[in-house]
Amino acid sequence: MKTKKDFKSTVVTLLVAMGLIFLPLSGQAAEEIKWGVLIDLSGPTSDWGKNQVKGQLDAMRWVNEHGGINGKKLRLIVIDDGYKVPKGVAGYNRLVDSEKVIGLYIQSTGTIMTLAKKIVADGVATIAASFTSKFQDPAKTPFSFFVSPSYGTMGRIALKWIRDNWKDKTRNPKICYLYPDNKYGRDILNVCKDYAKKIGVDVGPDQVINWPTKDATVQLTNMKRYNPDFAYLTSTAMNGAVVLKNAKTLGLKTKFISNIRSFEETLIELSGGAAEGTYGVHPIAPYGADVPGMKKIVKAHEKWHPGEKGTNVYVEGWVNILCVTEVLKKADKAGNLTPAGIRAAFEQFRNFDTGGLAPPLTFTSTDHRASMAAKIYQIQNGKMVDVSGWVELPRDMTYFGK
Amino acid sequence: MPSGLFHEKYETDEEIFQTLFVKAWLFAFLAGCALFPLFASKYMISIMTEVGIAIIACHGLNLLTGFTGQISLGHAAFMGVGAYTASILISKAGLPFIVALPAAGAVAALVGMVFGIPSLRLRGLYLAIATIAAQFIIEFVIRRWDRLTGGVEGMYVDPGTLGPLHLNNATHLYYVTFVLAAAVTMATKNIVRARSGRAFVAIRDRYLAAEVIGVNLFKYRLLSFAVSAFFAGIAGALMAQYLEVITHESFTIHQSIDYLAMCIIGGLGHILGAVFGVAFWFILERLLEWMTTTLNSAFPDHITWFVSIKEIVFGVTIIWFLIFEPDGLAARWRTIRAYWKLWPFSY
Repeated sequence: MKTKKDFKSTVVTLLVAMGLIFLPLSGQAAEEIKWGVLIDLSGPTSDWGKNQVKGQLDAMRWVNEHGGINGKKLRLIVIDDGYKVPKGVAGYNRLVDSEKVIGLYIQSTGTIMTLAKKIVADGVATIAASFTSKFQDPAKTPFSFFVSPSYGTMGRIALKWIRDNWKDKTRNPKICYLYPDNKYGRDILNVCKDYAKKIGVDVGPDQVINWPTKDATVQLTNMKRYNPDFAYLTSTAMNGAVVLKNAKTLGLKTKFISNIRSFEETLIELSGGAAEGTYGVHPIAPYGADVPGMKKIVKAHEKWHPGEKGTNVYVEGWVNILCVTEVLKKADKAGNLTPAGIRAAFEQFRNFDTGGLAPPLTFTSTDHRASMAAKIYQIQNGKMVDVSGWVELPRDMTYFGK
Repeated sequence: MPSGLFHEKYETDEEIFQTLFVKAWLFAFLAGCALFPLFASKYMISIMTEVGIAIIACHGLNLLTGFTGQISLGHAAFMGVGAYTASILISKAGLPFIVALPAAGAVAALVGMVFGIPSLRLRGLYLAIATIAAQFIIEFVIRRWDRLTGGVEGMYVDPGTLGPLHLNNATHLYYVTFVLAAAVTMATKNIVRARSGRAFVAIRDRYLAAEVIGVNLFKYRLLSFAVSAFFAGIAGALMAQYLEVITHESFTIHQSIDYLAMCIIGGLGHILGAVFGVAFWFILERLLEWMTTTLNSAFPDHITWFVSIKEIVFGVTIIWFLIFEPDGLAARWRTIRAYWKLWPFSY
C-alpha cells in the first residue's frame, strides 16, 4: 500500500511542479500594449535578425521613456523562429492565441507566405521584413504593411538610376540578375525584366547562386561572357560577400548593385575590401547619416550599446517601431485598439515623416505601398555614401501587387 | 492471489498490454489526450498537433533506423512527397482527404523504395550519404516542377474534410492527428512483433547471419524503406494540412536531422522511443522558449545572449543525453519501471 501512496504523492508533486513551471509569470503591469516580433535569432539570417531586434527593442525603450503610447507602455514580445516555417507558425499561434498581441512583425518570407491566409482570417496587423509586392494589395492582404518600397520597386529604382546616368549613346546598358533559387530570389525578376525592356536596359542571362554561398566563380565566369555593365545582387550580406570576393578575384569590370538585404555594414566587413566601390539600393538612412531623426538613435545606441557598431539594419528596426508607435497612438486616441483600428490608423498615413530615416510613408485603403523612393549608395572607404539622392518612381498601377 | 505476473498461455504472453494497471493508465492517457482540446488554448492544441505529426514521422524513421539499422537523412523529403501528393490530390484533383491520405503514404512509399535500392549495396555512413542525396533530389524536384508543385512559390493547400471534420479547424485536425498517431504506434508495434519486424532486427544486428538463416535482405530492406516512407507520407499529408501552405523550404534536411535526433533521444529500436523522443524534444523546446521570452521581456538589452544560451542549452542537453543515456529515454523508462516494481525490496 505504501508504494501506491508514495507513487501518488510523486505524481502530485510532479503535477504541482509542472503547474508552477507553466504558470504565467506574475500579473501584468496595467496599461500595456503588446506587440509581437517573430524573427530569426538563431538560424541562417540571425546576424540580420539580431541587429533588427536590437533596433526594435531600443526604439521600444526610447518610446517608453518618452511617454509611451499615450501613457501606456509598449511591450515587444520577441520569439525566435530560427528561419524555420513550422517553428514560425507555432510562434505565430503563441503570439496571437496565448499572448494576445494586436499586431506583430514577421521576418521570414516563408513564414509570412504560409500564414498569409491565416493572418487575413485572424485579422492581425502585420509588419513584414519581406518586402515582396505581393503584400501591397489590401484587397488580398488587408492587414499587411511594410515600411519600405517593395523589392521590385527598389529593383526598378536601380534600373532607372542606371538608365538616367548612362552616357554611351551607341548602346544600351547591360545588366544581369544574380539571385538564389527561392521565393525571395525570384520575387523581382518579372517586374524588373519588363521594366528594363521598357526603359532600354538590356538584360543578360540570369545567374542562380544558391545559399549558403561558398563559391560563385562558375556563375560569375558565365556572366563574364555576356560582360554586363551592372549586376543586381539579390542575397544576404553573408552570401553576397562571397560573390563580391569572387568577382574581385576574377577581376570583373561589372559594377555590382546589392539589394537591401545584402547591402548592410556586415557586407563591408565580410567581403574584406571587395565591396569597395560597389553599389547598393536602400531606402533607409545608414547609421549616423545626417538627418534629423538620426540624433536620438545614435544617442541611444551609444548609451545602451557602447563600443558596438551601429548598422542600417538597426536603423530599420527603429523605423519599424516608430511607425508602430505612431499607429498605436492613433488607434488608441480613436479608442479603437484592435487590428481593425490599427489598419485604419495605418491607412491614415500621408507622407508620415520619420525624420528622414525613411522616405515619407503613405498608406491608403486601396494601396499599401509605403513609398516609391530609395537612394543608391556606393561603398567608399568602407562607408556608405549617397551617390544619387532620392530616386523616385511614379505611384502608378502598372506593377502594383506583382 | 498470485504475487506477480505469471503467464499460463502463449496468448497472454504475447499480449501487448498485459496488466490491468497498464490498461488503466493507457486508458487514462488516451482519455486525457481526447479531452485535451476542451481546456487547452489554441496554441497548445497546435503544438500537440505538431507533436502528433512528429510521432508518426518518428515511428517511420525508428522502424528504418532503429529496427533495421539503415540510417536515413532524407526523412523530411519523404514527408514532402506525402505533403505534395496529398495537397495536389485534394486541391487539383478534388479528391477527398480519406483517399488522398493513403495515396500520400503510397506515393511516398514508392519513392522511398526507389531511394532504398542503394541499401542493398551501401551500409552505415555510405547509406546515410545516399539518403542525403534523396533529400536534395526531392527538394530540387519540388522546386523545379513548377506546374505541379508551384515551384518556389509553394502551393496553398485546400483544407480536407473527413466526414464532419474540417481540417482547417485546429481542434478537428488535432483529433485526426491523434487517432492516426495512436494507430501508427499500434501498427509499428505489430510490425515489430511479426515476422517482418524480426527480420528487420536480424538485419540490423548481423545481416550476414540474417541472410544465412533465410531472410531475404533486399526484400526486407526495401520493405523497411517503404513502410518508413509510408508513415512519413502520412505525416507529411497532415503537416500540409497543418501549415496550409507548403514550399520546398518546409521539408529541409534540418527537419530530417531533427527527426533523427528525436529518435536517438527517445531510444532507437524501442516503440516508445519515438513517443518519448518527440515529447522530450517539444517540452525542452517549449521550456527554453518560455525561459528566453521571459528573460527577454525582463532584460531586453541582453536578448542576443539569451537566444545563444537557448541554443547552447539545447545542444548540451542532447550531448548529455548521448553520453549518459545512450539507449535513450525508453531504456531509462524501463529501468525506472523495474525499480518501482520491486521497490522497496529491490533484492
